Amino acid sequence: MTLQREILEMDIRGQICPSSLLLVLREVNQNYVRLEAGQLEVLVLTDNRDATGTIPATAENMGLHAEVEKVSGYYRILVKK
Amino acid sequence: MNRQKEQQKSAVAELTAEVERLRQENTRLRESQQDTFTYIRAKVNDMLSVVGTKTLKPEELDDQSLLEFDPIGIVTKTFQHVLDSHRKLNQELHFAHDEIQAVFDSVGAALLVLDPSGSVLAYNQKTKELLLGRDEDILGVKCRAVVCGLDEEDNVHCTFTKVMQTRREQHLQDWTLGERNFTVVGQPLFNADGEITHVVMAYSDVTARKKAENALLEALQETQEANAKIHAILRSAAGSLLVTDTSDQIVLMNERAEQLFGFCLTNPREKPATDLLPCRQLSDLLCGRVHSGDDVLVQDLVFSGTDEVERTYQARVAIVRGLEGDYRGRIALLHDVTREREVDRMKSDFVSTAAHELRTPLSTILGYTDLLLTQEEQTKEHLQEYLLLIQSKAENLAQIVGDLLDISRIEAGDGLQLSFEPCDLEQLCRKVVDEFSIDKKSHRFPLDFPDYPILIEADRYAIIQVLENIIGNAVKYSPKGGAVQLAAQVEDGMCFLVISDTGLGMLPSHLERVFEKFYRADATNTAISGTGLGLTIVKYLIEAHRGSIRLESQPGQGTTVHVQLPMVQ
Repeated sequence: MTLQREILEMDIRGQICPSSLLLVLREVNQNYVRLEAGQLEVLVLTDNRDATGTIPATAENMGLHAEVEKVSGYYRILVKK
Repeated sequence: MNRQKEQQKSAVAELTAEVERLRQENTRLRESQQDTFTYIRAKVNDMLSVVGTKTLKPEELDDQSLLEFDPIGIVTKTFQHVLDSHRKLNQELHFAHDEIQAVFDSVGAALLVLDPSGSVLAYNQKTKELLLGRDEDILGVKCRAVVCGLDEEDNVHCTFTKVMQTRREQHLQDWTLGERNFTVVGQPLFNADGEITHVVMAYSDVTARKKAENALLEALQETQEANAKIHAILRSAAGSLLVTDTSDQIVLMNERAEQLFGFCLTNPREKPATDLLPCRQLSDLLCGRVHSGDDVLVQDLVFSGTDEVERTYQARVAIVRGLEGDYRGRIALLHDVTREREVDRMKSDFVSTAAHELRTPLSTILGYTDLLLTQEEQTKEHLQEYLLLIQSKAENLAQIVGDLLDISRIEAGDGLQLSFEPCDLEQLCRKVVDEFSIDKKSHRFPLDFPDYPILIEADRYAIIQVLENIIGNAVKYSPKGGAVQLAAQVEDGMCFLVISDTGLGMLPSHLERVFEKFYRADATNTAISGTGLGLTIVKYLIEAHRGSIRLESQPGQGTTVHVQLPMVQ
């Protein structure tokens, strides 16, 4: 059986830290239960390099997992269980 | 009026004072609000620094937006999730720790956790039981002291030392403590910087396994020895031996069988089929294609082996059964019975020949004695003639019976009674030749002897018997009018007598067998009498005189007999 996962996309390009982190954390907090249950994944599009360090580190501390992918001109950070 | 003015003036003053008070209150409140925002920003920055990010600057988020965005609320909520996650993680860690502790305590091996200096950090119950043999706290004590009883490090044999030196897992297969055998495994644990923080030592008690292994090895050795014995017995079997399995494949051959059939079982995976054998009858026997009520079949087989000489083999083929009586294959033992079968044939021929040889003179004797008994009136000449014939045939019978008795004594190992004395060989030869000359007028007997007498140390009658046999054969196998020549000479204390004829001669295959008992070069020719014993006895008699005899012959060119006898010393 394949679990259907919803992906919540956040385009925060143009935002710098700590706003980027706080914006992502606000979304993560609001959807933590679904994230924890593996029903939702948060896809963050950011052009702030610091965020590629702070977001995954905080997500790991929250018991989640984050994958960072560099694409042309910005980063894709996928936060999931 | 003045009073009214004063009252108005006073009211203005009060209002002014109140306005001032309110202005001051407003200033104070503004200052307080600013302090509050400063405090909030400081706390937000403190929290952000905990999550490892930069400070929040007022130009990035103004005071009004700060309250609306609520970063403290966000970070606090985040911390709540972090704490929940860590609490869960702690529970899992506790559970894992309890699990590891349970495994640590219940595992069958003695486990020691050492620090890099070799001091014991933890140990399980089995350590006390297997290594210490006593209830003692060994935390903080050096491993080498409590386990090996050493004061100093053993850099050569110590597994812990090897782990520290190589930074790798180490195994020691056979370590002995008292009467126990252990296998030892040392496993290093590293920190994030790649430094060894702990070494886990596991001691597995393999005493029982070791004993079982030793017992198994002994049993294996005994089995191998027994197997080798069986193979040695089979290999040394007096005959060619073959063993097949249930699928009629040859699984064992001894050396004789290998030589006979020209192949061997060098590769245990290659089992030749019995159909490869050169004798179809043998493969039929081994494959059970010959049915019999017995487990053992005995059959004579005639076939050629690698030497391509046809021989007769007696095959004894038996079924091999397991302890439960189940069929395991067949075993065949082949004996070369060519010689025995030839002897049997010669014996059979001898019986036939002897019967013929005995019957012929007996018929003559019976015929003439009947004649003497039934015809009363006989002339003296006839009577004399009949009696001489009867005597001659009786002598023939006596000769045959004498030969049989001689060969019987020789066979029994009793030998013949010989009485040695100096004899003149020429005189003996002339005596025998004279007798033949009287009886066999058809042959000539020229003698060639030196002028001096040839004295041999001999039994007179034995030498006469020898000469009668040799000359008798020459006469029998020579055509009428032929010459039987006797020539003698002396050399180095030995007498050399040569008797030659111009008769039928013999094939080399017959020549090499003439001294065998019952052997006759042409047994089918019953016209020429003989038992096949004469030359056997001759050879025995000459060798009893420390002499020798040999024959030369070619078909159609006669036969020459060379006899060598010692002279009187």
